[in-house]
Amino acid sequence: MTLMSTPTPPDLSKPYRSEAEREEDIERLIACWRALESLIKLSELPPDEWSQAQSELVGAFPPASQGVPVPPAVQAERLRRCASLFGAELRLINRTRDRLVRQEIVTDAELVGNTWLARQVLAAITGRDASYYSNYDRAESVAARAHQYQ
Amino acid sequence: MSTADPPPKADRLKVPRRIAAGGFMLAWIAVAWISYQTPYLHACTEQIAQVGNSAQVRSCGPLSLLDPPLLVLLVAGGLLMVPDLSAIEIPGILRLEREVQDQRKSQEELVRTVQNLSLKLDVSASSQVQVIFQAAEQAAKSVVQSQKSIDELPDKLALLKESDASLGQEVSHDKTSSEHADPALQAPTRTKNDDPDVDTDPS
Repeated sequence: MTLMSTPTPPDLSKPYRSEAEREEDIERLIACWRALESLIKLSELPPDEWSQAQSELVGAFPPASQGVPVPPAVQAERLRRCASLFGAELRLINRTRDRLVRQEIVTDAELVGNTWLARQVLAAITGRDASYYSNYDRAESVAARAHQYQ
Repeated sequence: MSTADPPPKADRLKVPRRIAAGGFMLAWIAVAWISYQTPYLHACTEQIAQVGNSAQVRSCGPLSLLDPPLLVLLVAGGLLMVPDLSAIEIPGILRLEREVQDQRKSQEELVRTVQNLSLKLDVSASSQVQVIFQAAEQAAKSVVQSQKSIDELPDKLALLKESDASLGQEVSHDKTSSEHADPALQAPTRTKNDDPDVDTDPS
């Protein structure tokens, strides 16, 4: 598990070099949003109803990196706190994701900014470096495990 | 002051034509009158004298269509037909006028159709411009909000990091002292940038 480093802000005035690059960021944003939404929904469930996979997933989040097992109730509370702390960012990501799904116009600047935010927020919650989620399959994996019921 | 266009050739010949027609008709009547009333201008036919008591031979036959009495009637009838002849011309003019009117009507319909089409195109273009304008406005707002969030994110990440560190210490302490209560987590703290209306379920 890598430590969080100070993120370099993206340049919103710089457009995508190709349509493929833009498509990749759309996939990243949608996957990251799915993971974030799953984690927020998971935090609303009582921890004793979490499945083994869900407990293992959330149990690996900070501060578990310090080698101390964290009780699920504490992790649930941390997730709720994250949802509150990153509320504005989550709303922005959600709105952009909805517009992408509805095939509305989303500018490059919006997509660059909100994809970056989505990766940063997901990375902060899961205790990873944001570059870890440049591969959107990893965000999909988080979403799938957060949905894995008993 | 504008110069008037020269009248059409038919109009220019109208008066001489009518004078000539009147002259011919008058001549026709005059010749008929002279032929009927005087010994001049007669049309004679050779008749075989009848052998008998009468020495005078008179040849009679049905009136020819061009005999003066009939001709007078014909001319009179023709004169009376002048308005009808005009009427014959008038239907032509009327028909032409009707055609012009029909043409004008179809042109007006065409103009109306084009105006309606233009109006529809205007409305369509206007709504498209409105949609694009709204999308641009929304995008601009979104970019501003994104930039604000991007600027604020490092502070929030630092706050979370601090919170995680303290949480780790507390959990570690709780583990050793078997205490599970965590006052810091019971009442989550808010940053100065937190939205008071934020809900925990952004979906």
